[in-house]
Amino acid sequence: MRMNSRIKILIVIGLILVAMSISTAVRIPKIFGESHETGFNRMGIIIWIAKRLLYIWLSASYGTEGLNELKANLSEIVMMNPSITTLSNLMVIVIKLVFALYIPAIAFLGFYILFLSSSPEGRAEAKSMLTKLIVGLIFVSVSPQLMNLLLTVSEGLTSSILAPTAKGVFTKAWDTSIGATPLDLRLELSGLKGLHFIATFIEIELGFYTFLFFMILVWGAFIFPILIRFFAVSVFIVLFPLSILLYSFEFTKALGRTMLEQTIIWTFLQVINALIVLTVVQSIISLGEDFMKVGWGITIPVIPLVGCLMFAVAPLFIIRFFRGFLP
Amino acid sequence: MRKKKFMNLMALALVIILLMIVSAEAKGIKLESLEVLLESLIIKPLIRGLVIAAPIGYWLAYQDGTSFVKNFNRVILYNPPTEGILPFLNILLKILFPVYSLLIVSIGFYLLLYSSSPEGRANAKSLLSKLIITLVLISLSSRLIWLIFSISGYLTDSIFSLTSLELIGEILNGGIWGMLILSTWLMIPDIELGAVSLMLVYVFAWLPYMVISLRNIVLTTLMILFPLGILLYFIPELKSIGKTILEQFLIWTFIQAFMALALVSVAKAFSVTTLVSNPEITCLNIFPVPGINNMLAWFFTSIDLGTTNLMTLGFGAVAHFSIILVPIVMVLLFKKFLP
Amino acid sequence: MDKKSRIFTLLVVILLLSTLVNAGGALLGIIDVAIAEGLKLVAKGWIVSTGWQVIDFYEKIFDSFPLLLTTNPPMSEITSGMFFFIKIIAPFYILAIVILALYILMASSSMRGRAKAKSMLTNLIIGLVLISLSPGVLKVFFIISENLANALISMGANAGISALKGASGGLYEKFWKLTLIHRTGGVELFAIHTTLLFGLTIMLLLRHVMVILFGMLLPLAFFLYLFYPTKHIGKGLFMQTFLWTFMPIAWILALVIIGTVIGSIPSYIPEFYILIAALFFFIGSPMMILGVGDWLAFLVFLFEVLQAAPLSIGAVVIDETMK
Repeated sequence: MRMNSRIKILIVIGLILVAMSISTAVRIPKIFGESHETGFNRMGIIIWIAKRLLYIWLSASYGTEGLNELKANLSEIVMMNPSITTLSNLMVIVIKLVFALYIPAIAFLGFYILFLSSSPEGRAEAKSMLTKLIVGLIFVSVSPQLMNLLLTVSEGLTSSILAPTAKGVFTKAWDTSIGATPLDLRLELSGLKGLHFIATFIEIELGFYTFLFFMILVWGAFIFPILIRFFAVSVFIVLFPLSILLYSFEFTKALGRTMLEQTIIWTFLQVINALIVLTVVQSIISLGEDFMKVGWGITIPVIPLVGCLMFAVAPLFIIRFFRGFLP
Repeated sequence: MRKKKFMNLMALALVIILLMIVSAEAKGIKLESLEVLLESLIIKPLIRGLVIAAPIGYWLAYQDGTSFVKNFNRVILYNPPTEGILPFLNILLKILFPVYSLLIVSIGFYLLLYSSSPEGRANAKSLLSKLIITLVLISLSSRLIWLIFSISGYLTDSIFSLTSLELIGEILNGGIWGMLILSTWLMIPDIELGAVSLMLVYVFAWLPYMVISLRNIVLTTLMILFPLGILLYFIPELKSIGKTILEQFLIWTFIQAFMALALVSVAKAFSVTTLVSNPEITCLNIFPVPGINNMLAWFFTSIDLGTTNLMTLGFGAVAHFSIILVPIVMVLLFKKFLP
Repeated sequence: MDKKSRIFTLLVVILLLSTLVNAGGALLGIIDVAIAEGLKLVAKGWIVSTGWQVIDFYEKIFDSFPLLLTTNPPMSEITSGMFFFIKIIAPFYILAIVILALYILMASSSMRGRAKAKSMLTNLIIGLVLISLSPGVLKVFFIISENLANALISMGANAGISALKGASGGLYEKFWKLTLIHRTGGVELFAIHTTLLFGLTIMLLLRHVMVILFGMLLPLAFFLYLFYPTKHIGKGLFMQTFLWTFMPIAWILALVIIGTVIGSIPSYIPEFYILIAALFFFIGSPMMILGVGDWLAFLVFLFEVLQAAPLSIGAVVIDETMK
């Protein structure tokens, strides 16, 4: 990487100097904004071009940071899950807290059944409540293993979806939609990078807006379906005993149900990510890459772009669909 | 330390460049690029500070930029006048009175002369009472609205007495001036840095008025629909529509109490919260003295050194935003409470 | 590789020499342009330094995180408001009790009617007890929330706070690098950055305000809960009090999780993404954990983020036309 950037800097300097020595005879119009009347217009022009090129290079590198790693390690990144061992300290604390709340509740109920049994319906209700509490207690005491099981199931499903998928098509989709510019030592101008190239030469602010495309695409692909999911799964793993406790009591059942649902949804978001990869790959294969190409001089392939965008953004929307599925 | 060294280096470079310019001017050589750049380093920032920030400061200090800050209790306490409803009420009564009177008389005949089954008589009796109640309430509706408005006004007034009005005014004032100071500070090197803060100045000046005007407009509409709501409430099929109208009327009326409660809560929170580190930003507020409408005013400008700190800015922003947030919460919470 | 870089260096040297040959009497012009670029650099440095000062100003909220998250407003402020509402409710209450008592004594119609009225009377009396105890109920909430928050913070929330500071620092680094190239290069990034930090400040301060507000409404919540038509409103108000009081728990939990888990993420993922994801997770955590509590703060935050973009277009137009 460092070698690459050194060469790039050398190329930029070389271009500047070549242009300086060649452009002596060229008449430069004044539309470039520098108001020098002197003959040193050309140096201003060169610096203007150099600045834009440097901006394009820097912002493109910010925008595509980590893209190579994403392409190289797609399976591991999608299957990334927190390890129960790192969370075990926190889980132990929560389990202790939940035990401390369960024991008085069970004791009170037992007391109620044995001594204060008023009516048959009251006794039956108290008995069913007691069984609910005891079942909940069992779940709480094995919650690390339960969570491990949940994560293993999710990982298994994900890998069985990802393994037969032609991931090369997906990574090629990233390459095609990001595209390339002459700064990448290639004689083409395509994809989002090409758009960014042209936009920056029109106005650097406009270049920032095309940089926003990169941001949503690459940063979003990392942050939303993968990293935020990682943090959310960690939180809900740690809170799992508490959600079981809340689910057992009528008064807080709604909150407990929400938390349990969130646990399941965020864990299985992995599977949805893998499904999206599969869908994108299948649609690219079946529709062909030249299905829709938009461009005036630059071609932006729409299907790979939409596929990458879906990977970044769709999981958040799909979460909204799964609600209220627990009793 | 590094920052200081950097600034020192920059200052030194600037001095050297100035000397070069002076010497080049003395020799008669025109260094155009230097002139252009001095213009953008010295003249344009001054223009940005004076031409853009000064009028806004003037607007806030002497014109109506801070009018919400100065008048918030009057504005929140305002209710639309109940006389506006009278024309529509008259039209409704003109239509309603004959029809209902006819119905009441016919039911009266039915009850007196047409003795049928007990359920029929009970039905007719309840229908009769409903018709009479409807007529009475509708003809009293402007008094009723006035009563509800004065209850709400009295409630809001007593909520405002829970804390000092000057404190609330101070917080709101600090918020909007703080945003101006921040945006002037940011605007001087480059105008786009201060774009977001400058927009927030305008949002703080106008948003509360927009919300309160929205309330007044909705309230006027609901006032006009109020008699209709009563009428529909007593008709079995259309009861839900009448209920909605009446409920919405009550909610939007009492929103003023909730706005007052929000401002009082902000004032209370401001007086008890202290931040661990409360940084400050100081900037010049330059605005011409009012009353002198010529170029001379620029020589008599009052230059204030305005300071804002994080707590004032934060709570001022929260105060302005809570005026719009709390009504939203209340409209979402209070639903379907009439029997 | 070695041969390539040698060829490049050779090319550069040749070009430099040819330039010097060409440049002849244009040396002064070169110095002129060089100084122009230097001054532009000074202007950009001024932009960066101003931006840094404001970002530092906003970042000071991170120092107050432990204080703002573990403390609740003192009860003395809230009780005055609570007593105000109790004074308003009291007449209605007494009226309701008197009417019911009269009904039971005088108009005893049917057994069922009397039984219903009796149960309603007991409800009302229980409600009276609850309402007069509402400061105590709130105090219990506060004590539970503060103790839990204090216990949780000691479990590693500081690592989470430094992750958030790292996210802010990463954004600032991109801002100054982009600004040094062109003076308007990084302003949008600056707008997003300051909006995020300002939104954090507002969320934390708004929480205190909401706790006071719904705390003052707690008697009203109990009162409304007792009557059937308004039962859901009372429950809603009560839930809001509960949510805003316990929101710091969700935040602190998010900080602890961030601090614990951040080390176990594979190292090939760029650190900047991890930190920004931590920041977003922190902002969204009450919404995730508590369910529906935080959509207000989220709306404020969203509003602030969304208004940054169209404004800059206008600012560019102003700047260009002022040239």
